[in-house]
Parts: sequence; structure tokens; C-alpha cells
Amino acid sequence: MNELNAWLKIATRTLSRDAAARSRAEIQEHYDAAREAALASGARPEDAARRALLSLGDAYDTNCQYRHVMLTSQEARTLREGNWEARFVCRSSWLKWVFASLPIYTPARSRIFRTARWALMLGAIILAGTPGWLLFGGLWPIIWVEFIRASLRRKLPVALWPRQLYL
Amino acid sequence: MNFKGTLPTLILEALANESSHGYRIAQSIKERSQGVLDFKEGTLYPALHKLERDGLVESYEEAESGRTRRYYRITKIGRKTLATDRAEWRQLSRAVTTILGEA
Repeated sequence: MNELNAWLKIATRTLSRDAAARSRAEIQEHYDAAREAALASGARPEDAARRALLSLGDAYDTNCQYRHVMLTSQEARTLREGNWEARFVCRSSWLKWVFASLPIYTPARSRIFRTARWALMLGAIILAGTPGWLLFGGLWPIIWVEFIRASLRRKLPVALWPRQLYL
Repeated sequence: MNFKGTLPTLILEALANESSHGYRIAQSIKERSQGVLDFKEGTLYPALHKLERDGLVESYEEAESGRTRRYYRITKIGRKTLATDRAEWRQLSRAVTTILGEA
């Protein structure tokens, strides 16, 4: 059981709490079924446990695949707390109205909106003659959040996208 | 045998006739391929999650022998995707067999 726990710890590393709990439960379920099948085929208990664990494969590979499809803790936090544009916009009722009425809340339109926003932002920075190191340093947090949001857009079905993912 | 990329289709095929849980899906694929397609079972679940996210399968919990298990069933979209994948695979398989058969 300790070996399974060590395997699960690696396989669910950096996943969000919910994703890790679900993954742990299903792998545990799978391990139990595989161990019972091995026991039923006449294997000794320690051999059955070893075979069940071996059948799961490499924990690092599994972790890599889980991170491609399930939310990581960083992504879950961004989803929960990273809605800084909405908070800024909601301070002013006028801005709130403008953003709510923008026709950008479909995946295709939001892609056009984001492209235009980045083009405008980069254009303004380049025209202002900002030095490269300052440009990179200033844009890094925005690029990082955008990177996480891109990952969220890939992982979540469109029906579950919060408004911040369209921006 | 390496069958990277075909696991989602094989999972859909395993679910085509009845709902099943992860362990049974893995065993079904291995048995039906007569042991040729051997894969690490830990990788089955990320593939199942991806299929669920894409709306091709749905999951529900059910008690079996006193323990709760997560079952998966194929959706309508999943059946359509499986039909398309089957047709594409037959076409590809015929083409490769034609080429290799000539060698």
C-alpha cells in the first residue's frame, strides 16, 4: 500500500485538489480490482500487489498525461482568483455595461478580440520606445496568465468557460 | 505493440455495447487484441478524462459489491466519432496492407 501511495503521489503531483482526489480514487479502484484478479488467479498477496502496481505503468508518464487533461493547482487558482480584469471593470458601472455588451463571448470572436488586444498593446509599447528588458519584465506576468488561460481554454469545455476566459 | 493515438478509439469501441469501469475497459482491450495491444493501465484514465471533456463519454458512480465505482458510457457524439474512426481505420488499414502486401 505504501508503494501505491508513493505511485499516486507522483501521478497526481501539481494537480488541483479536486482533480487529484478523483484521480487517486479511480487509480485506487483500478489497483484493487487488479490485485483481486491476481489473487483469484492464485498469486500470493505480495505478488498480486506487485503485479497490480506494475500494470499501472510509470507514475511520471501518467502524471504528464493527467496534467494535459486535468486542472493543475495553478490553473484552479487562476480560475478562482485571476479574474482581475472583471474586478477592474466591475468598479465602474459604465465599463461594466460596455464589456457585458461586447459581442465577444463566443470562442471564435474572443480569439479575434485577444489578437486585436495583443496587437494594440505590443504596438503601443513598441511605439513608446520601451527598452527590451523593461518590455519583457513588464509583460512577463501578463504572458504567464495568458499562458495559463490558454491551457484552461484547452481543458475546459466551452460551456464551462467563465467570462474571463473570453477576454 | 505501440498503438499511440488509437487508445481513445479503442476505449470507445470497448464502451460501444455496455457501460464499464476503467479496469474492465483495460481488460477488454487486452483480451480482444489477444494480448497484442498491451498498455500501461495508468494511462487509461487521462484518456478517459479527455473523452469525457470532449463529450464522447460520460461518467457516473455506481455501487458494485459494496464499493462505489466510476462507470463510463458512450454518448451519441461518441458513437458518431467511433463510426468515423472505424471507417478511417479500415481505409488506412487497406492502404497499408496494399503497400506492404506488394513488398
